[in-house]
Amino acid sequence: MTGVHANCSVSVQLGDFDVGREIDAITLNRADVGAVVSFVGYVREFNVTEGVTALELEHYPGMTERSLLAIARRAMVRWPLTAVKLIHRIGRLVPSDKIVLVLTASAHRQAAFEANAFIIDYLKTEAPFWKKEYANGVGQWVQARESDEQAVKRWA
Amino acid sequence: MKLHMKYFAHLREQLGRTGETIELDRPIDVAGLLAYLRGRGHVWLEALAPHQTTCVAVNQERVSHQHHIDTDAEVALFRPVTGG
Repeated sequence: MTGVHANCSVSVQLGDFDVGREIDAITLNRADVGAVVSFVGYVREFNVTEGVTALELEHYPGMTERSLLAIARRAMVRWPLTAVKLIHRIGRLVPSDKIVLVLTASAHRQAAFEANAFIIDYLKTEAPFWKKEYANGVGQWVQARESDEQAVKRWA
Repeated sequence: MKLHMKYFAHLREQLGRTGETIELDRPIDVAGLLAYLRGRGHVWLEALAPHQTTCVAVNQERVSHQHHIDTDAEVALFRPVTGG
């Protein structure tokens, strides 16, 4: 489930990822990279309810990868980036597990910071993933947040 | 015309199915398709009620309720996304 387009790649996977190794992979032998910004999202033990014991992440195979690539490409058009790497996990996760990784590399930090925030803001409102939280043995679908809808408006 | 439906997450559970193929006797837009599905009554009427936000993707691209659907399209229905 990996798609590669120029120096931009996305992966939707069950397994964990190693942030350091992913950073090394996009900076290896690249003397034009001056900055890499990484965003890592984790499973929290409190969200809709307290005492979350697990999270199940469902997605739309095919559309998910297309959607992530489209967001990454929009960022690459808007900022001078040398690389974008997106990883999103699916399946069953527990508190403190990593869920999502966004890496943006650029010659300068400003582009890397801004593009990273742009990508995670759009990922949260466009990419077809759905979280179901389990607490006390009861599963509950997480509702979309108005604050996430507001967050993308700053990029319009 | 034939449509290949997919239902995800909340809607998959509420409607009790992951997908189906629908045969219609005339062209339709997204709003028309949702009205057709609501016509099945019961959970369909409830799950796809206008006050619920139902997102629609046609051939894996998000579309508005005014979008005209071509035959053999893959049409997915789901609630607002919550990844990240």
